[in-house]
Amino acid sequence: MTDTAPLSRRDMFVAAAAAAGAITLDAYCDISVPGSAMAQQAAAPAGGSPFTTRGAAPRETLAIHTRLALKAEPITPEAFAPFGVVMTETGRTRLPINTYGDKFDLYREDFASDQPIEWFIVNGKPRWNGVLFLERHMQLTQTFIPMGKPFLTIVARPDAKEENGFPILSELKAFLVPGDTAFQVKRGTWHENPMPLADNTRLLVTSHTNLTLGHQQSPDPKLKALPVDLERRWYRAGGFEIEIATV
Amino acid sequence: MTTPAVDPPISNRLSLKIEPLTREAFAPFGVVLHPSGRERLPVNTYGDKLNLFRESFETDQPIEWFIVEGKRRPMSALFLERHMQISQTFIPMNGDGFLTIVAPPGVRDEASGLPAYDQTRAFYVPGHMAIQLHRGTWHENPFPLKDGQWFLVTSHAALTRGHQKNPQAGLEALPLDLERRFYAKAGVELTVNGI
Repeated sequence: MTDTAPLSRRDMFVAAAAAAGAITLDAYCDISVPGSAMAQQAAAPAGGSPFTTRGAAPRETLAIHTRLALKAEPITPEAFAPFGVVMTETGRTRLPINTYGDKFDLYREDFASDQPIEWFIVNGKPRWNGVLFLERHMQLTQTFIPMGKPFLTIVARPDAKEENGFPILSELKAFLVPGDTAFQVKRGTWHENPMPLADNTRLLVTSHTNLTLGHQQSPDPKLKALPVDLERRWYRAGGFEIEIATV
Repeated sequence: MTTPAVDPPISNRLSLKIEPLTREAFAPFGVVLHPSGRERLPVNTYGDKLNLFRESFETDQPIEWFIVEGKRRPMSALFLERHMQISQTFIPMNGDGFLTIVAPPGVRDEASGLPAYDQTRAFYVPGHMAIQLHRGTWHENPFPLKDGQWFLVTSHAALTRGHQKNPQAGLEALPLDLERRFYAKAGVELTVNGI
């Protein structure tokens, strides 16, 4: 890492982002409550890197030192196999269910969770198509189900090699996911959250209670003790500008 | 339970009017998985660009997925079925709407053994909404409105096995979490009108 800039404060990050026209103030999680549990967590994250947290954004940021443009490729079961499964019939065996003759064909796919699951109902709009962070969950195979509109996703395999606390850039892949195609990531697959291409892009996403709480970034001290199953590596704050190349 | 060789003649013809899906109208049967009317979670990772809402899911068993490709079939109920161990989710994948026939959990049985006729309803589910049934809600499988519609449906291992049995077989004794009441066996025809 050839970092020439000293660590800067959150407002410098915000100013730099605003100057780049890329990220708004709101895109940065609020951990500004001094001494709060989440702030402490961000300050002393697992893994020893200031850019690894269990949800909350890091307090410091580096100037951009590395830029990467990722080309999004169409999602296919083969291309996505290192990261998870595509929830289509391709390559599956039809179950012997003939209740309605050939009018109803059923296939099956696994789902794994160590916790009782629940739903995120998501309504998104376009934002910067880049990596603020990659996150991962070890306790479920999270499912991303679009409700009719396409979106972009960036992923890295669960066992991606790391460098300075970040899955290495050559492991990152971007996919274009059609609005009729759901996917399910493996436990531990690194991912950014879905990037909508239009307003009112809605998805259903599987979650569990502690994961839902983890996403809420509340400075509630009770969260400190929870196994939130949310680990984030903050690329943008760590000085990486990784975005999907527009064609 | 054995299957009679011949169903009795139809002695009772019932017809359901299709209702639009609203949270309120569907409340006796389950929930609509759509942001409207829900409280936004305080998740502000991307400002207002990604808004999150929450819904529960209940199951006594590890869940798995049905991936379903459906074609248009006659709009009449072969049976209503129910599952007590899961709040089953039906998610349309093509953006195409479908029909569902439902009756509330715990509803009284008619003399025929079928769920109460006056509480059995038909809904049109738009393609950008999903539905999740309460445990025990009686339902037919989704009725596609055209060929090639796709759905994701939550299941569990026993339920997936249950569906693989002969649909006419008696399933009540098996721990399959699948109970069905057949219309033709009771001499009843239940159709949806307005299609």
